[in-house]
Amino acid sequence: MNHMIRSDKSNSNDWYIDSGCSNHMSYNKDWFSNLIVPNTSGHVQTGDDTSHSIKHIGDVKFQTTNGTNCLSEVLHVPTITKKLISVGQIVEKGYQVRFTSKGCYVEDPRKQFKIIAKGTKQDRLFTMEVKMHDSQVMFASHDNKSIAQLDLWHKRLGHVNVQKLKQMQYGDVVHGLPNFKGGYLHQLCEACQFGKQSRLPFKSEKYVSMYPLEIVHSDVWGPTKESSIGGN
Amino acid sequence: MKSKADVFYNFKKFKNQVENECNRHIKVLRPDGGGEYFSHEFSNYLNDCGVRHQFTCRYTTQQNGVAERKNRHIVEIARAMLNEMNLPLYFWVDVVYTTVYIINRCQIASVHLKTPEEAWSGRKPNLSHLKIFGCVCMCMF
Repeated sequence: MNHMIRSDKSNSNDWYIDSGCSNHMSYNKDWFSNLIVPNTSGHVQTGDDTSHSIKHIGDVKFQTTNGTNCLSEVLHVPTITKKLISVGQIVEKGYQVRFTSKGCYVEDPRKQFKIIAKGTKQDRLFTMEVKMHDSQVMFASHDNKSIAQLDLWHKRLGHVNVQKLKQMQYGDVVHGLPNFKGGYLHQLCEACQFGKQSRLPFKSEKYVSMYPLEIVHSDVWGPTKESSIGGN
Repeated sequence: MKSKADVFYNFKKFKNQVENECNRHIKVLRPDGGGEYFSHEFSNYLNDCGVRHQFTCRYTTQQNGVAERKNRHIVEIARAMLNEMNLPLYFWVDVVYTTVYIINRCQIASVHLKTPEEAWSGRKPNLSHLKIFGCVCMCMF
């Protein structure tokens, strides 16, 4: 395990990328999804020979600068003080981790070594700054009930804009609305997006012509009753 | 309304109804350039009632922004509600009725600090009876 200088539970978003640990692990339960309790009680042994018990195993979704990622089979160990990403587990998934003097890169060899996540080198430690997935951050920072209320009324009033909904309540425009304390919907409303989408996107064409006139695309319109400005 | 020919009859009905309800008169009618608004019967009726007829160019929906935007507003909400509950398309009519009911009871930009319902009837609407469209309900005997 890497040598750690600070031992307080820091709230920073840094996860340590560690080749010396066998599993991803973290201490905050709110970040996990699909939590299960392991059948046999397991322990994690740290460098100072103390052991910490594993409470749950689950997935952690987070956002890096390169997009949304999901770490699977992350151990929830409440008593540890750092968040660790296991190089061994990443490699087992078929990815590759490259360490350089600038930072480290998780790459996918199956997709021309596309960089999936990037870590920075702080002193001699490799860390990855991540943003926890929105929904989880929301649930951690707001009280659940008011979000559920806002969600419910958003749906009842035909997916009305949340800003508008709050305005209606503050302005006392109608009777019967509860008091919304929470700020936002807990996640992007899928139905709203579908509602605005009148047409599915066109599939991209696999076949691309290689020389002129191989395919001629044509879209004829008309005839029209209206004459043009020129009188034709 | 089965065909566009019914527009005249329905417009008369609408005009009488709304003028009776709010004690005001329709001053201007601004339809799109569709043929249903151009019959002699219709024009004569409008002249008799002193309603100005501001028609827009045909096939130029851009000039009829208010009506077209409202269509889109309704359809977007209706589609979202259908999708939310994964309802089949034959609920289309119900969902559009519900949408209009809801829009009339929400604050919208064109009516300041009021709901359309309040602007029309002078009463503040109560929303506490609303449920999510398409949610499961049980009959109690």
